[in-house]
Amino acid sequence: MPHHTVFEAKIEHLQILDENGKLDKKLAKDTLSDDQVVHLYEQMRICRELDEIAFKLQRSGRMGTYPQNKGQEANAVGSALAMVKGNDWIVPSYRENAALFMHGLPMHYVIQYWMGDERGSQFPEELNMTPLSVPIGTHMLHATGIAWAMKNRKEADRAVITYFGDGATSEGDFHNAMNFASVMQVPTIFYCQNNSWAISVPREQQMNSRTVAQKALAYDMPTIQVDGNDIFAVYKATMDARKRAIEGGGPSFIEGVTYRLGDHTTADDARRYRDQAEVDAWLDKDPLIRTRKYMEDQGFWDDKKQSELETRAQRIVKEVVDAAISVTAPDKADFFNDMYAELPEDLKLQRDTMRTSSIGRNPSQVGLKAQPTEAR
Amino acid sequence: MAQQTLVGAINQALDQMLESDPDVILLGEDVGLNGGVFRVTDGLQAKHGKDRVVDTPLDESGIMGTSIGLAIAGMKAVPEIQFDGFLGPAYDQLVNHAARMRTRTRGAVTVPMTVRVPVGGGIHAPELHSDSPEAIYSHSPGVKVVMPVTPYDAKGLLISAIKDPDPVMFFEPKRVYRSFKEEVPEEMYEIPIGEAKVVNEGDDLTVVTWGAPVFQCLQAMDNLPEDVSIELIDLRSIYPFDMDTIAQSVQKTGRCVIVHEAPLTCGMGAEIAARIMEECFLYLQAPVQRVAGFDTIMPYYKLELEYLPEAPRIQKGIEECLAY
Amino acid sequence: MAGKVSSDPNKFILPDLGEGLEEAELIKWVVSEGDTVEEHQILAEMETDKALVEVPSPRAGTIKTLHGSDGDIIKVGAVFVTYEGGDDTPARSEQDPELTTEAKEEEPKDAGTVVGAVSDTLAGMGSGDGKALAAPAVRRLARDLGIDIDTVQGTGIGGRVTAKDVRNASENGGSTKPASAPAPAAPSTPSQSSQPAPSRTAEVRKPLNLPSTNVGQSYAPQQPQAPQPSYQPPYPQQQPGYGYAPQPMYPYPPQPYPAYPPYGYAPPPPPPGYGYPHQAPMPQQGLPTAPGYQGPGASRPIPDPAQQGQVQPGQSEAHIPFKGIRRTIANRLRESVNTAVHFTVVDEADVTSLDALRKEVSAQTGVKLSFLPFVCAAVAKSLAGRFGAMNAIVDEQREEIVQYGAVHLGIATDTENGLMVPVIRDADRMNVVELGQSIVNVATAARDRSIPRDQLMGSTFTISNVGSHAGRFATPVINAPEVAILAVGKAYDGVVVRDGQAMVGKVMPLSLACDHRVVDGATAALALAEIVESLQNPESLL
Repeated sequence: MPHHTVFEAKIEHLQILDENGKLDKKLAKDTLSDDQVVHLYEQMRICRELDEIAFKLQRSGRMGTYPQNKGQEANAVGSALAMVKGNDWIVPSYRENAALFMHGLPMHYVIQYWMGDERGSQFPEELNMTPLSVPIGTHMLHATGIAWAMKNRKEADRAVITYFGDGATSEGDFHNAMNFASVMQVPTIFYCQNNSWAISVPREQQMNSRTVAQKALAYDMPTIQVDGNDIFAVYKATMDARKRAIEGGGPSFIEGVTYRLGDHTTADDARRYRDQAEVDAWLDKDPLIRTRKYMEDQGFWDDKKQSELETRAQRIVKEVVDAAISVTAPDKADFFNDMYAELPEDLKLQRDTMRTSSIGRNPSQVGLKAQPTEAR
Repeated sequence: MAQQTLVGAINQALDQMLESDPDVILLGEDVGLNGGVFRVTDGLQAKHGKDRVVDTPLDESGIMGTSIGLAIAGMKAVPEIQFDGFLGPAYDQLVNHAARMRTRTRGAVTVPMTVRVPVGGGIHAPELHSDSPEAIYSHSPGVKVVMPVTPYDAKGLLISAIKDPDPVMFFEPKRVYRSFKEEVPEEMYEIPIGEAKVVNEGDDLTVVTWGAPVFQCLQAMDNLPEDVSIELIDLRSIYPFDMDTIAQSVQKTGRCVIVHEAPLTCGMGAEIAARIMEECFLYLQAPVQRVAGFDTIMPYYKLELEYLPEAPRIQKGIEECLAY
Repeated sequence: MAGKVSSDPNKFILPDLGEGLEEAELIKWVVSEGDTVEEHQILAEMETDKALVEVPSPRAGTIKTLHGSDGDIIKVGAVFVTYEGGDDTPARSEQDPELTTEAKEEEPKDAGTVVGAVSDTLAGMGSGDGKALAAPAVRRLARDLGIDIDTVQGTGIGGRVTAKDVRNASENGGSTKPASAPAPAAPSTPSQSSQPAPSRTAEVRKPLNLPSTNVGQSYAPQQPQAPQPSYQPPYPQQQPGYGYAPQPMYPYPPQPYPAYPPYGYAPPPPPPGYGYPHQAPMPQQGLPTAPGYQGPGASRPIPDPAQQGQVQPGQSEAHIPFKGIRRTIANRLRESVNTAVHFTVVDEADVTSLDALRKEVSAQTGVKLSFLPFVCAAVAKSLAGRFGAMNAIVDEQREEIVQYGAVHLGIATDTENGLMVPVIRDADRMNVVELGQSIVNVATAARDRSIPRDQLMGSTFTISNVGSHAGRFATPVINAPEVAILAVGKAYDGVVVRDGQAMVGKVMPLSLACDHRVVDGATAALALAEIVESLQNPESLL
């Protein structure tokens, strides 16, 4: 057989809850209970509230540049529920706030962080998560490394999930992470939030691949494309991947097809480069809308509960924001203290004097404020 | 002549280079339709086409590496790396390939490209968006490094950089992007790489700086007693740099304060101080002072002004050096 | 901008609505004055360089004033909205120190600065190991003045030796450190003058203590007698019961003299116990324009006077900024030519004898002398004597000719930056060795631009030493507002007539340019003749 096919592949797409709130009962079997759906919906709604307020905080001068999560919440909550809180690790980018909250991160940390205070990344110790990662597509390697450690230590019931966008898959580090994970067969779940836009560059321009999911084929990694605005599909895909991971099946790839309803960040204006019609079309696919529809259709959600949730979300977010704003300002020299486990003497001197100039750092070198011309 | 911001002057220089040289190509993340995240390339794709102002995949290593290829093949690549902190993935391509190509091939293969990068702090940007990496690249033989701060200098230096036969890092102090306007001639002109500018003549002390701190230095100087006369030098070109202008000035004043945003240790201030020691030793009235960023990670914006060499700290450095 | 909020809760200052924005255009207000708003309620729509944005209210409250109208450009940091309860001051810029919390922050505790708070730890500095604390520039000054800086009492911060200390020491003959043993007699009052110019204690020019030798006469070695400075310090050796000088002026046993930095060029130390107290490290040649001087004072090479064009290969022209010192010089020269009525008289001096004499004096004093100090001496002698009319300036504004008693000679000096004219004050009171040293000092200081401004002013007559390079006669441009200038050509081997016989000797061409408005032709000719006469009989200059 001089000429034959050695590899064939297909990419499957999974949708369980469609944009009209219709559930595929067969596929939904053994996925989310009604309580879980409510829980995830509440998480999404609170996260959405936080997003809106954060945006306004930036516009009124109380927060720095902020990236909204709006429209992508289902990816975060569905996958986070599939991972075991306090056991598995999360290696995030910056558009999966809800996943972090569900795994125990107090909300005000994220607010404090985007208010320009690194103490917002000083996560409580018991949380298994790395800080938000700003440089695109570089952190997935860490997820591979963490999973590798799990494998080395034979922690067979643990896995790692890492989140990134479609743009991140253009970076070399993405492929490095995928290859390493595949070669080492470590329990990493690569979750790509394909939100269609990397700032101003649409996915079709970002890559000439028809799907993002197919990139995993190069590494012989189980891969699937799911409707990222469908909490059922996201949850199921992540559950499957995690099961495979802890059973020694190695890494998996999930492409959640979703949409960035907001600007890239508060410093961006998406109206410059994308059609409002496209945005409007996606507004209809909003995960909050379809989940609410589903719950109402099933009869375990109504306007009253919605109204109570909204009030609660506002109250929670207000408290969180107030908490973040009222955190005592960091010490001026705060940025020195954790540079090393033990600060080198020279750095201590810089910190204690807040100076880099030698005279300022060594009082014995300087004297009275003499006439500048005195010594000349 | 029109009043231009730094953004406007750079945009004009790019526009004119695209217009005058068909080999010039701009590439980078969001530089096309969006006009760059700082709007530096605003309108250029509409005017010159998608083939010449190219939105690339999100891949700094790819941007840098393919620019090298474009340049080797005779085009004049002008890649943009969106923020200083994103240079990391491109470092290997720049330092291990662009910088070395000419000497490895003894001149047979060259890389005439100009890498534009917004740098520096002061705009309360996210983490990794406020670094000052000029020393890293000045420490990479084979690469030229410039950092103009005024619109006029930026236009002239950018045109020189694009015409330069070697790789040039063109660092743009983003803090000044829109904060300062001046007259910029409509026509094309060049400012030679390697020439400093004496912003203010003086006799008592020399301040050497570049990038956004030029304005902080001017602010510090405003707060000094009137009879103190400071010579302020804007280095403009970081490598090669204009030691003659510095030496002449320091030999005249006998005192020197170097100001930069980048961390103190192994910053360009260290190199300049060493050169002053070599060339001006017997003229020195006081040890050369460096008012720089600390040897820490550039903090996130809440503390960035504590880290940056702001006017009060510069002023103290000057006063202490004068009083020595 | 984020992180910058008004310290007054009733004022909302416009934040940076993006990243690094300076201003935004107000598209329209969506609330009115008097409205009560909720926190986060949209107040206005604005357009920045980057985006169209909505600006929400940072607080709940009633709006008192909306600052700005549709279409206005609002600066980031300006007051945008005032709420009830706030006094309604107009928008102020972000620089307003009262407006922003940033600016209101207390001056940070300045742990690093001790300006104004010198600690006691400084008290002991400076004399611990007998080594002076001094800046490199002060050390160079000490070396130039022949002062061992370790013997100078520092009066600066923490006992640091200042330039003033060194100059005082120089004027006082060397050391200013108190002897460790009680001195039997206080040294005579040191000069109180802090003026850097040589102090003027001698009323007349001091003669050199040299035998009045004739050229050709063999020089009889005798006990070398050092020329004395204007101020004679007590010789410790002469003090009975003193033993060795505790602070020897001439280190004995011989030591490296003075302390040179451990690199660079150091001239050979003079013979111990012999020398000149004010001896400065002399360059290879005494002429200030001596090319190739690599001495310690000249870390930057003296420019090759030949000026190559700067047109680069492949370029058709070069553009060199016409500014700075060169521009200043140009303006002054232009002024001079526009004002003074120039005429030039020329002559030649037979300097054969002078050539021999200067070599002898050099050998005897250890100070290499060129012709120039002798020319200066000759000029000073004439200006201080019969030709005082040429030691003058024209004050155009007052319409006065001002003649001076003292002769302050400007020495036109080539520097990298162009021509500079450092001044030797009271040249008429100096001997040739002092003149030689002064010329070197001021020329070096001019070249490295360390020369104090006052040493570049106040000359009454200028000598241009064009001849150090090449050429014979010149038509020099007067250093306005002076009235005359002497250009000295290169001394060459030429035919001279002596006692009716033609023979080969050293000939020095001289060109004296004068301002005809002040100096008559005959005066100029006679003055030049007298200078020539002095140079031909150089003993008169010693």
